[in-house]
Amino acid sequence: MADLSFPPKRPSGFMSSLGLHRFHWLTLAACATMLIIVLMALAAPLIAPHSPILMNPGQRLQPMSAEHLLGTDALGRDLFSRIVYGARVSLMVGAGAALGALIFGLPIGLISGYFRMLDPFIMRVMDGMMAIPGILFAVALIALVEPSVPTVIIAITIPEIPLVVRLVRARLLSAREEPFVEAAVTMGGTPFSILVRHLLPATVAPLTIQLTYVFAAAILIESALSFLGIGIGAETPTWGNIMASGRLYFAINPWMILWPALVLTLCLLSINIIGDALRDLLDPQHKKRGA
Amino acid sequence: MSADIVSAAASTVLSVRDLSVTTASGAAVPILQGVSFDIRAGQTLCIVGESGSGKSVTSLATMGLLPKAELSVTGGAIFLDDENVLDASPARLRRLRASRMSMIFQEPMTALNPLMTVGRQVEEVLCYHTDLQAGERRARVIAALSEVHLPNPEDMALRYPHQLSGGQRQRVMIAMALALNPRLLIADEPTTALDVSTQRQILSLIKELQRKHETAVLFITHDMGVVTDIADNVVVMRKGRVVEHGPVANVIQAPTERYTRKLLGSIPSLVPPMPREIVSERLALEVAGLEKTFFPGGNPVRAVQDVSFKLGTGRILGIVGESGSGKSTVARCVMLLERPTAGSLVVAGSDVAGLSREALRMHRRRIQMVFQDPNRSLNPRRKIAQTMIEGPLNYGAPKAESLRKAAELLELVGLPAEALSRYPHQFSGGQRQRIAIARALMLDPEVIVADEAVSALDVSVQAQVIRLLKDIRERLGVALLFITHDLRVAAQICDDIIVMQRGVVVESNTCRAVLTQPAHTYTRDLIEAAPGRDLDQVSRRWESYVHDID
Repeated sequence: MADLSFPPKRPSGFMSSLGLHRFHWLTLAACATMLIIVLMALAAPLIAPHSPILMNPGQRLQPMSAEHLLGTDALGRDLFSRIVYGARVSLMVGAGAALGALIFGLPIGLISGYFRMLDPFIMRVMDGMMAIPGILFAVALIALVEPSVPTVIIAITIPEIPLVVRLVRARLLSAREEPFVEAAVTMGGTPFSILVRHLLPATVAPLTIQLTYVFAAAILIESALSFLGIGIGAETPTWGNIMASGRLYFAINPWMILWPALVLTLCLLSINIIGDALRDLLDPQHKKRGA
Repeated sequence: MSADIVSAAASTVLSVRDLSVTTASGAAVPILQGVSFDIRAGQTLCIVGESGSGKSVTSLATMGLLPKAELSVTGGAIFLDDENVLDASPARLRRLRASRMSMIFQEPMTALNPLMTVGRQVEEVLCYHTDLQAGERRARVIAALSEVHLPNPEDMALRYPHQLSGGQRQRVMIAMALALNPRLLIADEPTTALDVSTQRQILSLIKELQRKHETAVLFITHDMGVVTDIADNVVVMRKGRVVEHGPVANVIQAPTERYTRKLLGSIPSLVPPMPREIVSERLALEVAGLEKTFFPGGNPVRAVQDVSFKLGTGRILGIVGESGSGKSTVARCVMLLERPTAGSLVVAGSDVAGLSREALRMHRRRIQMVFQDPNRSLNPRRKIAQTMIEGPLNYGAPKAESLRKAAELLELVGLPAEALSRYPHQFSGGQRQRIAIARALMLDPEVIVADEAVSALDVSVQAQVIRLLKDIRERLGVALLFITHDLRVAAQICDDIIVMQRGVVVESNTCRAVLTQPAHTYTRDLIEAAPGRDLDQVSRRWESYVHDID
């Protein structure tokens, strides 16, 4: 019909959003910081000048020098090398917790939000889980089984699951009222096809943001657990362990706490800034204004 | 009109001169270009135009409410009693609002604070702008509420917005807007969300108060019928420019611009065309004794009571009624989106009311739906192709064949096949509704249920979509159940009509009989309340302009 103006095809939203000029410098700095930390973790053996676990009693509590960039700890281990290796554990715990919360939280949330019959039952279980303080739960679990990276990940993930479930469920409760979901029902869609085609995509944005926060929280909790001495074994370099061992010598050598704390802070700050940037990017209203 | 005699001597309250507005960020896209008009005390000026014409931007600029981050005034002046509003400081603007000019909005539910009693909200205006004592304020609130004819104003003042009806809420908004006797009242589509009979009461209330207080009214609407009922002067706007401007009688009776003629010609007539002959005796849909009872908070609400009708293949049956009449519930029950409490539902010869889940899924392909708001009935994240072929894929049709069919159907509704690779937001509202109609046809249904399918569209687009639906019925012989609150639309498309009121069918006959010889008083009231009844002849004169290219 000639009376219809037809809009020219625009470049797709995703590609244009990759144009870096659209991001705030803070977001770019956060991304760069995270990239450096990830590379540091991956290439730890190449970067670290010394072994992170090799003790050298003759070199205890050394100040910063060319030999030991950030000095050494009370057992003569190279602090810089330990921080570099510590990134591995921190990132593993963060990624593991985020992935775990996704794998368990997303399906439970979808089921709870879509099948109204199961909803009250699932939600009461989740409420129960939320009533347990996260750190206490982790302490109890680690007291029961051997402290290791997987144990710590599990201990941190379980309290995060209800948060993800609630988020997915809330998003689904509003999305399922959308006319396009009813349209899918009238077109003969099965519950599974409607969940996958119409409801799952609606959870992607809030979920991505939530998972960045889980990631950051997990790193923080792992550090706290290690600092308390109930996390991963003291010989494994983690940021929390380094700070814990530096605690006793704070008056003599405060750098032993300050360096890992600085890296931890930078890491958490970057993740949270990236989370905020994702929220702005994935916010449909924001996108509409940009289009 | 008597207002004309008054206005000869009356002073100019609002004078908009060469107002230009552009977008503030990026390339300055013009939104308003050289808009000028005057309103005198006691007069009503209607700005009429379709969505995107800039009519709301004009009113926001007058109130000093333009979102500064997005829109900026690039030229012109807005004089309110010789004071240029555009030069006023924010503090001065705050004083001007409510005391010298005030505004009422389309949706009174969102414009009122749900957590405050309405009396308190009216009082707040007095708190900010007067030095009255509490006792005097309360007396003024009661006086304001009784002036807008709310029953028991003392009792009303203590109620919360959700305890009032839509019409009562709009009355509260008017009481609030006029509490300080402003010189100018801006009404931005104040009756669009209301039923026709409520709309008529609100319009006459605005007129009455205007006459009493000599208020100048800037009335924004998309509805030519409302214009003829209320305006002294009319400004027709299109794409940010004034197309035509003059006294209502001139603009309506002798429009000089093609666009005005097109707008007038697009108004559906209340007089239905001659009835079509019944081509097939076959029944596509038969509903008998349909009941639906909801239990909000445990108390039964009988939304639909004993509704029965028959819809033949190739026929269009309209269900008309005001909000709360149960017409949408009937549609949802017919679609089995709600399970009816009782009654039988026969689609193409088989009873479907008690089907099992899997049998119901197999049945759904025979009856499809077109929803009111095409922005929300198409998944914004999925391409048109994915949306179109979803139904056939659900029933196991091969993908390539479904895509071919989707392209054909898009062509049928007047869109090129390239549309398949785009997303819904790349289309206008009318185009999206065409896509929704094409999607409903993908499964070759026997019946299409259209629930207010043209209500969200501009009048010229509405005319095109109505034509499309009739055309599809003609070509494919599908039966159409057409739910609408708009008698004019119903008159143009339906063969038969049932009129519903509070869940009950009050009248059921051929379209022509219902509209020309209504048997029930409620139907008569509805027809009586339809705005701009004298527009029909004018409208028919410009019918050919409907096909104008934008």
